Amino acid sequence: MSRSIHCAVAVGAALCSSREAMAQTDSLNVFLDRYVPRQGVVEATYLAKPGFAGEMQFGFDAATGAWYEVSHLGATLRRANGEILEGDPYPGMLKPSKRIKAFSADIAVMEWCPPCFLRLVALGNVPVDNVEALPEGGYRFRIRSDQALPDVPALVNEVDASGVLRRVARDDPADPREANVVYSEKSPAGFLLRAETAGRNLATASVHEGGVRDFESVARVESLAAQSRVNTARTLAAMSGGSLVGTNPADGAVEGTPSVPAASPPLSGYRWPLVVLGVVLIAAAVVYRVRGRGQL
Amino acid sequence: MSTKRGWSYAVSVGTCLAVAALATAESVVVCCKYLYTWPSDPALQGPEGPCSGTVAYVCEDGSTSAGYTDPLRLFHGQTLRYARCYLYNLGAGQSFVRTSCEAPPAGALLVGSLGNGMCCYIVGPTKPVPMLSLRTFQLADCAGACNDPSSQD
Repeated sequence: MSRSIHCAVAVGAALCSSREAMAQTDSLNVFLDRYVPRQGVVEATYLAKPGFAGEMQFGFDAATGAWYEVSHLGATLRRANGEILEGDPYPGMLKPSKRIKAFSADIAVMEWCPPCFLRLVALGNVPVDNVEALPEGGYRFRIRSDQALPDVPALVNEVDASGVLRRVARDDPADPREANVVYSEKSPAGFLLRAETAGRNLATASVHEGGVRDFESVARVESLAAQSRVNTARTLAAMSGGSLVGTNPADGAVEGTPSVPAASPPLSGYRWPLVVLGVVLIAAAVVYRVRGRGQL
Repeated sequence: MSTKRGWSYAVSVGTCLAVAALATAESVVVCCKYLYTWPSDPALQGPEGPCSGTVAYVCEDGSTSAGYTDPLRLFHGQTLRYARCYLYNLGAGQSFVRTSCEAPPAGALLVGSLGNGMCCYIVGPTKPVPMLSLRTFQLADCAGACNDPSSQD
């Protein structure tokens, strides 16, 4: 009898705990929904620091939760229905990704547009746990970045009483990497953007209040990626003082200009004719010399 | 006398032409493209050196057109070549991993070789996008430095 009571209590406690967690998550979502953008498209360009090349462009549709990221390496497009497309920065390369799930890829949005990311959380697109209300207002919650990669630590986020993401830390005591989120003064109205991402600084940003009709268009995103690739190639070419610089896109560099010429000097094309001519002259001289001795 | 001089000139010119022809011979490509260096600037590497912390700067090294057995390489002159460098700044969800080059973590991106059979990788749900830069180097003798035969040009 006592064992049954214990069991009932234990099961009840687990259920209560689970319901409590759900209630806290619901509370978080209701809170965030008051502050995150729900309409409009924001697009931003981040440029590499001086001496480096490699711009990045981002876009987020607050109405649907769709977003894209493009660079010289390629493009990622996340559709409202959760589909992820990835590919190299060339026309026709964007294809459904088998590499990653949508909720894991959504972490990328936090790296440039935290309110956009919080919008995804509010939409229920990103699983959260360990939600707790903060005494001063706001919430702390944890996001599991990818359940398929157990070695990747979860991220703990702190949102203040105004719904602004203020701190991010890794759920890893050995390497918490706790940091305040720094926003750019160039942030457009309604969307606070990070001042820096992946080492790059925010250069331009714009908001389309009425949305962008073909925001989820594969052709549009591929075109942006191709342009990013070309821009990066031009920057690299300028670094080389106008010399031609070429690379293989497969290894993370940039294509778009011819390869560096081989080390062969300009006369290499005349090699064999020169050899033949030299041999002929030497042979002629030897023959002439021999004949001259014979005549003496 | 003039015959002797003519003969001497012919031999000299012929010999010079043959030597010049050999000197213009293309080098045999024997060096790998994917040798890596990790510049030691503390602002460009993590707190424990390459492949630590949240930043890493790695450069390709070596030559793609220099033969280490080429006896006439001195005649080719020194030619400036460009090597690519990559600066990685990790996001919150990304981490560096040092592990054997023979056993890369699943889904990881190779950053570069650290030597001694160890390689640096980045793991995480999102793809890292490095910034690019260039550095110049002279044609170098990189005999014995190839560590990835499949990457030979």
